[in-house]
Amino acid sequence: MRFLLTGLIWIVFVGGLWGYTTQRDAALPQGPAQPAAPKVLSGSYVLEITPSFSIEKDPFALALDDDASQPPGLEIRLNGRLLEVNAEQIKRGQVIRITKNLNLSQGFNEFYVKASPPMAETDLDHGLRVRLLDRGGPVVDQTVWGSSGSVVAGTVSFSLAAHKEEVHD
Amino acid sequence: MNFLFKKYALLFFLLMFNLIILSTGFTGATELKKPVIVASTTQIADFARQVAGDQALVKSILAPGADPHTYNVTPNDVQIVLGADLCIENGLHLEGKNWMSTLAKDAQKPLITATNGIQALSISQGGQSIPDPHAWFSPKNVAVYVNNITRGIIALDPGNKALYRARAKLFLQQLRVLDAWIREQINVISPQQRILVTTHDAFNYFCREYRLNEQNDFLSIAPVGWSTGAEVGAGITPERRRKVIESIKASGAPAIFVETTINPKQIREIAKETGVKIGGTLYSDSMGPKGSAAETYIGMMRENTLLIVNSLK
Repeated sequence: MRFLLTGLIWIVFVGGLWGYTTQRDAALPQGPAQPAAPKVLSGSYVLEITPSFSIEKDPFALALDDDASQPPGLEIRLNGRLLEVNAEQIKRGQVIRITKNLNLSQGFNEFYVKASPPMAETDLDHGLRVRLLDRGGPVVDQTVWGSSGSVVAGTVSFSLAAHKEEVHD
Repeated sequence: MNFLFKKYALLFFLLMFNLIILSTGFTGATELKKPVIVASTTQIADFARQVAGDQALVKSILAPGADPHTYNVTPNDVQIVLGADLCIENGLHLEGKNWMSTLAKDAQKPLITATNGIQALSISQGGQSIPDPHAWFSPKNVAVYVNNITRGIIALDPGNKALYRARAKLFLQQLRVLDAWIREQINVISPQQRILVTTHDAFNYFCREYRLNEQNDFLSIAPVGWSTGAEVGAGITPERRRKVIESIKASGAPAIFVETTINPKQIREIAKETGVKIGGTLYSDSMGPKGSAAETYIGMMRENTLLIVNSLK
């Protein structure tokens, strides 16, 4: 009888512990909560990118699926989305203007830019000027720098408020 | 009656015990089930680990210090490949008698050749042109290895594609930095002193990429051919040995190097004959053992570069 009791206590203890951990894990959220969709600002925004170098295909790039929307060696994202760039070759000092799908949100926004300088210029530091214009006036003007030999990559973060005509109280 | 009761109680207890152990055991087994990737060499295993991270178990057939040209497979290797979900070889006949592809074929496992798409350097030997398999000595080529390996791992486990892509991108950036760093380091040596003499012809890509051995068309100088095995153009010949000695004497090489995977006897004899010091031991066909500074590809390239620069400058 004592043996049976010991066994039962053991089963209750281990079973209870197992049951508790199973329930605890099952109670965890199964996915992220849906964030509220940010308000897209209307306006005539233009993104200007000006490299201090000729952009070349990066021999160290991951090339699993060819993305035809951007020239080789260049990557521009707005809030995580790739932006379309219409340029075959991008030379030093050439201004790249992007207006298509420039859906800026009210509040926090972020551009991610990455460009590959020529491999023959590994001894030079390079920069990539990022300007966001609204109705011709600059809203953002920053330069992302890369030290010798490295890809020029960085983020440009900024906040935008709604235009006066968009505010309806 | 009391005896029967005790007997049934014991049976009940054992049954419950087994049920609990089995249920927890199965849960653990499901969680631990990861794809197994088997690479032929230590370098390829490192590339695969950089991409796969904790999502897969990566094993290398060759141990650190083993020579891929002359390696003989063991029954244990057959067992390892039988348990693989994906096999990766270097290719270009680095694996003597193509032992890795044979292992994968016999076990009916998918095989990736990591050098696919690389512009291989050709070695001319006895009127024949042989592709040099030591392509990892150029980090640019390693970018091709990483792309091929990433494609293979994504095909094996498409559910974790985003993780593999992200890890591959990080590693590729590290390779780019490594490449720039090697250029900066080699630049310290005057062009006339950039003479790299090693045991076997493993450093052609390194010499071509970083402009060493100008007098030999930026290719390596070594008494032993591209392989230590018995293939065409492999091994040591009196002619090769004589040329190496002439080259050292003519160029005034400050040091010559032995390699971790090859018997240093030949280089020691040449050092004695020419009066040139031995600069140290380079990692060539294999990375360093676990815990050493060269246990990763980047570590291996860093240590080799530092040794070369410090011995030649």
